[in-house]
Amino acid sequence: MTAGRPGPAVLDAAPARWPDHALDVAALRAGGWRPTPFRDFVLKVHQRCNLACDYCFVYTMADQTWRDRPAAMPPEVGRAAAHRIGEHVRAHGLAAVRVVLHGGEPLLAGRDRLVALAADVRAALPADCTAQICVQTNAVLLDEPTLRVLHGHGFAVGVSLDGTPADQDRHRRTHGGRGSAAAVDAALRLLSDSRYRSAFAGLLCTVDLAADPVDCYDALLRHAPPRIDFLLPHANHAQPPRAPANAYGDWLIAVFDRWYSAPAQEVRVRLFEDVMSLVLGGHSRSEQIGLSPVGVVVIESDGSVEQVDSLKSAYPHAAATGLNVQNDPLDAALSHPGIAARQIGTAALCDTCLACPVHRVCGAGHYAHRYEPRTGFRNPSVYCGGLRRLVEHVSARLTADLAVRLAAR
Amino acid sequence: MEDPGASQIDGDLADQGLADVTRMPLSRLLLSDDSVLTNAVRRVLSDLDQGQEIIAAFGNAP
Repeated sequence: MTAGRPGPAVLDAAPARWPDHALDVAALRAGGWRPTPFRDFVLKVHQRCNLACDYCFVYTMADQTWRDRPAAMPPEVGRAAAHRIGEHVRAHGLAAVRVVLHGGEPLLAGRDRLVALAADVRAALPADCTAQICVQTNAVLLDEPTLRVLHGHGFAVGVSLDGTPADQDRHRRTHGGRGSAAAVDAALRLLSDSRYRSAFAGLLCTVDLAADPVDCYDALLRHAPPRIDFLLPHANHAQPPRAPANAYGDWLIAVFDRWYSAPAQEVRVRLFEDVMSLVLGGHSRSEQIGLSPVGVVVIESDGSVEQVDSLKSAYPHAAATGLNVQNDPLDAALSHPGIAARQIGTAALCDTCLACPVHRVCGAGHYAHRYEPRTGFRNPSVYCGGLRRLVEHVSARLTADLAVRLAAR
Repeated sequence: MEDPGASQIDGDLADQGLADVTRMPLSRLLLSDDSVLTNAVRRVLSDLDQGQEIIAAFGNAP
């Protein structure tokens, strides 16, 4: 069982900061629940970044542990991480996994180091397991020699881009204050070229209300990405977003309507596809929305095993598990309350969410956005109003269009 | 089997903002286009057909 509401293990009257002091994982297991193995392994190969984006949760929010870790993941930590991934894959008979090389900015580690790390991971996996190795980069250092190497070694490359050049340069600047749009545009011209296009995984765009939503979407689309992800800026009930939640919902609705109305689908947009899938009775594939169990674990540059780095937006050490790949198997993390909390479906939702008619679609949104200092993570999303508005809009359009199409045939 | 018709997408599920793809005349719906809507229905059907557990992936990489 990976979803549902296993009541006896969820101690409603327990003290603050759910789940750490209130979710009894042993009782969950005794009641028949089984954790979902990890399929996404995020390796923080470099802690520093060559950009200083003003919304970056790693450097500008609560947790500052990046200062105390090795800037680059040492080779022995990389080999230990690869060994633990292989061990986890064998223990659970996994047929496919994804390894995301992340940062900071992963290209600061150097392309040779990334290739060596990918080789370590692939060597550690059984022959019947396929691994997608992905690099998530700001693309400032993505020149042709680097791209040629990454493409040649089968990497998928995801790029962070916030829309038009003006949108990009509003927040994504160098430490000296210069914009990054021109450098990223040059990299994306290479990445979308037919020689390298098979390596193009997609674009990540952080929602900025100062950007025109349709202009932003069209600017992203001009790079012909196979996929676009729109991310809400990390925020929580202690550090709320810069504008009311409904405004973020309206921004996303404007993009949704532009995307949805195209006669033929132009690009995959995971957030919108997930909402549509959930409305149609299916499942979500991202941690942003829905109730699918989250299969993500993060390995920091010092080997620390962490839940997911977006939790660093909540409070210092919020993502910690106390485990390290040099000492501990990844299976040990599956018993951590913070990992379990993102795998138990509606049992992780508060009563306010459970009473909401769209909770099975929304799923309380991104786990990090539910944080409130007194109670922890069992709260509605700080973006609740916007998410509900988006879900209801998508549901209404979908239902109306299906009715029209079916009646017309 | 006779198509149940568009009215079948209404009902209890609609109260939750949900639609039930298993009760739609899909053979007609899926014939033609490459729209966002049709592709969404195709993906849900494919997921149902494969019957595998679907997990949520890391949101900070595509």
